[in-house]
Amino acid sequence: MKNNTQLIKTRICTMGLLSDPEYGSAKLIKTLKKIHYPLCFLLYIGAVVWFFLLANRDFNNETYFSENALLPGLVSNEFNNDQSARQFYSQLRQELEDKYMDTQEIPVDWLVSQMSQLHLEVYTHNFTLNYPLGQGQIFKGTNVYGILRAPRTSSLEALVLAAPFRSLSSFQKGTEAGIALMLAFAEFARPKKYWAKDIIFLVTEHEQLGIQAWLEAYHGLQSDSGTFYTNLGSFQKPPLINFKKFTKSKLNDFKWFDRSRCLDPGTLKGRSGAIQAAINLEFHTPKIRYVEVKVEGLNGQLPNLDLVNLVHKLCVKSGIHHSYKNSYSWLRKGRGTSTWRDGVSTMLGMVTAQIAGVPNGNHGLFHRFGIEAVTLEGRDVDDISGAAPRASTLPPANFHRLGTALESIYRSLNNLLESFHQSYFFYMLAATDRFVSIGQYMPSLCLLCGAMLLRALSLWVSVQKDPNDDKIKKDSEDNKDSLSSEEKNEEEIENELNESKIDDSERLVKDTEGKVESKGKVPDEIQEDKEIKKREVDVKPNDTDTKSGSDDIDLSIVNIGANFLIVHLIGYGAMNSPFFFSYIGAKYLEVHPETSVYYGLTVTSALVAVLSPFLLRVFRTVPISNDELSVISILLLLEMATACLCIGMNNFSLGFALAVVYTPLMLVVGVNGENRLVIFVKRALCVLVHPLVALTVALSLYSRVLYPEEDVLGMAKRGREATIQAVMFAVADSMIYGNWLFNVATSVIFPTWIVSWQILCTTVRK
Amino acid sequence: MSKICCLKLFICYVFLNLIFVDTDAFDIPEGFEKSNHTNNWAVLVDTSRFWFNYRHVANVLSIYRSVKRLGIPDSQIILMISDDMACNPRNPRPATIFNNAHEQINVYGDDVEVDYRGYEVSVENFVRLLTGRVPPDTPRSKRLLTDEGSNILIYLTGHGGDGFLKFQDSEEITSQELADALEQMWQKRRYNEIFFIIDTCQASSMYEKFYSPNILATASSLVGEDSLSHHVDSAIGVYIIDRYTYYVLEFLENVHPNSHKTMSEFLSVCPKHACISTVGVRQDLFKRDPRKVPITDFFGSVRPIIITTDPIDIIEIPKRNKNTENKTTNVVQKRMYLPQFPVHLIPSS
Repeated sequence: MKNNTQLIKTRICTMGLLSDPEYGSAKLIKTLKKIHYPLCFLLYIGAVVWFFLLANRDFNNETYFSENALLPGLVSNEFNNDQSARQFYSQLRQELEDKYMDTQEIPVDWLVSQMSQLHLEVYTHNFTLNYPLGQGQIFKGTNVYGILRAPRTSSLEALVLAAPFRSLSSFQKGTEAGIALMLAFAEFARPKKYWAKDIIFLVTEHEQLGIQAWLEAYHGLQSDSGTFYTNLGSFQKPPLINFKKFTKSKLNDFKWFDRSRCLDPGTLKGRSGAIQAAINLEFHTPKIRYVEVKVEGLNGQLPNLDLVNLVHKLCVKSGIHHSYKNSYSWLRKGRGTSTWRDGVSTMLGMVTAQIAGVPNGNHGLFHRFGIEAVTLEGRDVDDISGAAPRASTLPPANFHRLGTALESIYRSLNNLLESFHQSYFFYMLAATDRFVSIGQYMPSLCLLCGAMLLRALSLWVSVQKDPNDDKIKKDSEDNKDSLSSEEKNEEEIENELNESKIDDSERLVKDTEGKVESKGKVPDEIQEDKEIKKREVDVKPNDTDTKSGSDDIDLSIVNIGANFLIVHLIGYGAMNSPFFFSYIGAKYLEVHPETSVYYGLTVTSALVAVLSPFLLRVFRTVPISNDELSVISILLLLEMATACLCIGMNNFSLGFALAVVYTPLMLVVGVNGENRLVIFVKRALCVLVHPLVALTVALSLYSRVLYPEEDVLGMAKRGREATIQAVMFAVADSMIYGNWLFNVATSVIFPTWIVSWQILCTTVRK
Repeated sequence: MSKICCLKLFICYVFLNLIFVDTDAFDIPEGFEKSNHTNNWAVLVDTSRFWFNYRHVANVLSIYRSVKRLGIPDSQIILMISDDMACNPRNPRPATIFNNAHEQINVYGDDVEVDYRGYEVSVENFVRLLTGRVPPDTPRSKRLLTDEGSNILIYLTGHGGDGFLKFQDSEEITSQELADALEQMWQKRRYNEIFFIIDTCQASSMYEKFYSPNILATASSLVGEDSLSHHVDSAIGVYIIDRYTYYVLEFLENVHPNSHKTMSEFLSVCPKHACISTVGVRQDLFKRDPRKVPITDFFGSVRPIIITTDPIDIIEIPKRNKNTENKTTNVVQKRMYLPQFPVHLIPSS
């Protein structure tokens, strides 16, 4: 122990790992040290290859019905209310054109009167949004819903048929046909005596806000109940510190954002039972060409595969063409690269949808209440989402077919005895009828995290001193002048092979593998290897000088831990900062919250980037050692690997994407060598994967794809604008709906980025 | 009254008109007097609940209808049905159960007496029923009051696996338990012969453990095979009947109380191309040759018989319409049965 009380000297003896007596001389460790770079590289490539292979028909499965009770498509269809559907459609359009041309309001009176005439129990529902970043902005909305009570059973269970209302002036496709179809279906279903569950017909306003408010109200989550968000596992809560105390002088009217006061769902006057499934309709015209089945929900949550499968299969039965991403039912399916390519693009489409975590339809908010839901979106030949191949050759659908499909789906759902539980909740769809289960896709994520963990292990065994290792190094050092590093590597391996006479074939294979890898290495990696070697050599004289051959290592756990804590607090602060930024922006600078949040975060990032490297140097008397830096890297690797796995368990796409982007950075972060070019490249990589930078670059490239005619400057401008909006959406989604993306980016990715930046900006002097 | 001679009371399947028409050629069949068979019982069990298992209820009710038509009275039929399909809110034809997409016969008609229903259909109740170890306050309708002269027809349907039959989605009876229960019945002299039918997946596994004598067993499928449903009623929206039972019923519809059909015909009722599964038969425990056992030994009912050599003045012959069977299937019409003992035919002095 030295004079410094903060410094805790940790004794890590040669017997370090699990007290294995043969540890010091284990060949495995030496092999690991040598081959871990090529091995990590292999794991990384293997993970990506694995993922793309899953799109191949030989590596995924055909969908099937797991739930017996569904009895899909056994009933003969009776729906013949297409005439009244057409009437509803023209009436609704007429009503909107007559009275609602200039406003965005939902035609409450018309909907209530139509539903009442169908003898449904009709209710309206009002909700209020106090926009969290709008400095007191308030939005109001109204939902209309009618309940069809099951004639011969109690209202214990319910199904929902929903349609969002979109005004004529909306920039999105309208939903008049969907609402008309819904009313026609209600008219058809009302006199039927076989319903075992209530059916709730719901028209919501303000897109997802309406459905969110309705669901919260339906489940009795009033705005004053504080337990809701804690129950749902959201980690965004107002900070425990009373902010007012510190800022009384200037920000006296500043109230910290309280999420539970954000959306006031109000109360419902009429309820039914537990909702078991929901279908959301988005049809702008009855003459659609095909139906897109949208599944991705909030935070990448998916509905049970049985429901998705049911909808696809019953679309086939009713003669409606259907699609999922780039998989189209009407294209002839064969084996070969075109199917594989379609599968890859379908899976990548799903991944992009899930990364954002934003529901791509109103169905997405049902999922977190344990309600399985999908959206059926009608699409035309010239759809805004992109043209489907040969869509123009398809005959247009009509109300009759759509109604038949809806009838089949609801009669099947009516047969359900318990909520969906049989089939998969975690899956990827490679086509409308092919899926990849969690057991098949998790290995690719595990391989990525495995690469990080392997790197951490090799760093850990490097930190530990090994007398034999030193001896070998001394030997090799003698030859150092005559041999290049690559040759030296081979030489060492061969020496070891000859000396130890390993008869274990497995080990032999590993060694030769390592050799092969070292031959095939790119110069950059050789450089890395060299650096590590050098570092190991560098460390040795230090130790021998000060402790004359003892195996002690100096580690300041307190310093490392304090640094980690501060860095994560910065992340937590960043997570809670948008509200503060928007307040400052609105009060003092009078700018739009979008701008203030974006620039606030940018300035924060820049400040952190400049200041954080000094964090490792303050509060300490002794300069940071190589071993400490290695331990920080190990902790960083462990944190990133764990975080990716945990996120991937909930939202595979997000976890996988993070792992793909951040594994390379995590693997190259370590004790820096002397080569300035390498350090520069590493730092550039680090800057590139900073969440904000990565987002800007990605969106700029995307705008390049959308508007190829623009020059680089225009592309950057578009990218910046898109980023400002994306950040704002992420923040608002996080506050209103509980989307994780912003929270993950600020509280997990940002701190790990800071730590890796710190390491890259620290050089250890001898 | 006392002048009536040669009055013997037997229990068999010979029918009255046969005796009266052929009084000259009166001949007591071989083995007639040797048989201990004095009465007939039936235990019909549907073990599965839920709407999508509609077909199992249809199965068991169809068999019920057939054995009742062939003469086993309700008092000697134990009917166990674990769910009430007729009153299921999903049923588009409330209060009815059909066994065919043509929906001609409502098998849940007026005369159905369900003895064990709903959650009463459990493994415990089933074994207690067979072995007679019922609580003392059990009503007669829920008891199997058999004796050493009883021929019992046991019909089980539901979801099974290799060596078990699932009851109510919550418990199972294993083949060993069932075999032990039957052995207990034998030791307690609760049966003369048993005809055991089971229509489930891997059904034959249920009779493989039997070790008691006088049991003839048949199953809709062998181990490793699934029993399949026959067809869908798209108006009700369910699979309406199982294949094996469908062909059994097709066969039984042509059986009348005076038919000469034998058990071997019954055992080959569903060939592989019709059933898709292989029908399993076990006859090593059964002493008689199934080719000589009339089907009515198990499906009909023995009635008390008076054998007389004296000519009898027939006061009135109840008219028997040849097409009665088809007409009585009319849903509206209430079916009647002949009295158990046709006393009105015998002149009282």
